[in-house]
Amino acid sequence: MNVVNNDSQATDNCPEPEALAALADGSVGATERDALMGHLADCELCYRIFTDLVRLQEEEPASVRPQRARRSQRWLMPAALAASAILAFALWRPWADSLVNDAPELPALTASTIAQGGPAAALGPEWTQPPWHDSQRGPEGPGSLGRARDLRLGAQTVTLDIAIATGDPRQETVLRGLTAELKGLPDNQVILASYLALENSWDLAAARTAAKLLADHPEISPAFGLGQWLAAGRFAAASGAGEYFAAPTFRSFLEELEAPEVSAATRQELEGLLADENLAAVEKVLLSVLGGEP
Amino acid sequence: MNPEEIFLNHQAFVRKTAGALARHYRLPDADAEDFISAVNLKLIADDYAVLRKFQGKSQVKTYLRAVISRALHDFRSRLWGRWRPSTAAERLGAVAETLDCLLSRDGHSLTEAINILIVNHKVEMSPAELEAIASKLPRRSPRRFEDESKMPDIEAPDRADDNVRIQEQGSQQELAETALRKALKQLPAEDQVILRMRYWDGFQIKAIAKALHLPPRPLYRRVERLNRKLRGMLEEAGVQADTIEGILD
Repeated sequence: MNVVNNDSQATDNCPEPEALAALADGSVGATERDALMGHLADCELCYRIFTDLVRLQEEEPASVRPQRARRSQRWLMPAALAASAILAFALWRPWADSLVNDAPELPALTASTIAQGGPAAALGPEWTQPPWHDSQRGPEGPGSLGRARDLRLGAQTVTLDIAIATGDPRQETVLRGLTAELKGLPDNQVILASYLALENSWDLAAARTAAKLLADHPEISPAFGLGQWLAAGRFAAASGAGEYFAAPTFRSFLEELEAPEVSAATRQELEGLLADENLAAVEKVLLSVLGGEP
Repeated sequence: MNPEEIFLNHQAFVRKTAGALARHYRLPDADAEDFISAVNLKLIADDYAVLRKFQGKSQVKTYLRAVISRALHDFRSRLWGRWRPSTAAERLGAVAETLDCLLSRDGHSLTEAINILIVNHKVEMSPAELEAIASKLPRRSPRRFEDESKMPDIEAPDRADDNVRIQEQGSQQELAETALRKALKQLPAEDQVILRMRYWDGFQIKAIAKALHLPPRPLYRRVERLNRKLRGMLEEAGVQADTIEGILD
């Protein structure tokens, strides 16, 4: 029942949501509690929010589930995956921008884009599978083969990042692929331990810290960043964010690679493929040039 | 946790909470999906402005719930436009509000509105139960009754004087609502909140005690006392006994 007014919009007098949350948690002092109670008696909107909080708290299981249980629950939420993947990707962008200064912004997310399933839906059910298959892997080691490995590693860190952010059940598979790759990296104990620890936490911040450790490893080449950019590009292509590929980022990555084997003709070919957003072909050409077996 | 981490670590929680509220307020599936998307966009808008406001005075999850709840009511306001449900509908809950909207805002007949509630809003109540709710709503605009032959799926009200009966009940209900508002305003704020939670929203006394962090046993006695007081005030205002029973049962 509305005692004072019939407008459910918040007014200047309405407390911040955090004050109502604190009231529901019982973490307000007596004076603030009295003031909030007075407001609840007069304000339909805030009364509704408060009773929503009470109802939602009632519905929550009494005990906090252990971390392992939460992980298991993620296997049960495929319906949420498609919508959340595009969000996760958009959220990943600012982080990626710290690696790639001139990366373009993606178009704003819209409700309809998300409702349609976002890029994860367009990528298909195997979106977490790295774009490089076992048949394309050469022996690990320094030099050109290391760059192909770094390309894969970069892509896998982004894929893992998004898999964790979206609660995709295949995150464990992605992590196993990544740690398998890491075993070929010298002095890998700290990095490997960081990734293996993820199995107990699935903490996104931990995953990003591990990725940074990996990027900073002296043997990891700039191909790592290129791999990250390409993996994110799969989502950009699927979400129709064409400007992602139009930016000079890719060119700057190639320059940073200092790969004389990437000839002017190859660069031109790559630019053309990027213009068509043909990521699979770009990956194939790059792996071929950098030492992997296309 | 920084705001981005809060959002990313609570993705599933946000979706679950938004979904639960959408169900509680009877949003149709399409609107519910739009609402969940709107919540996500609200949380990430302006570099997580909403999450950056969080000062740690409550638990993160409770804060998120409050933010999502406010977003839900904003969302419903946008859906409704300038229209607002009657106080009676608000007191009777989400189904009554939606019914009120269908009848008085959208101009549907009672039969159409019942059909929409059952089919689109997935309300699991019988037409008779929904008709009973409608009888407690104020008559803000004339309601039409469809020819039963046009709505073969729905069991239409079967008495010829339904219109008159519902109108009479509506008038009595309006009188009761006015008296109730006046009576409530004479009580201390906390008592008003307790009564609303108990009789309007149907919370158990134990749940009210927990929500307001009050000892449960004295609260039982307090609610009984408030019930008697409110009943007396309504009787004095001329509200019929059966209407009072409908409110305070």
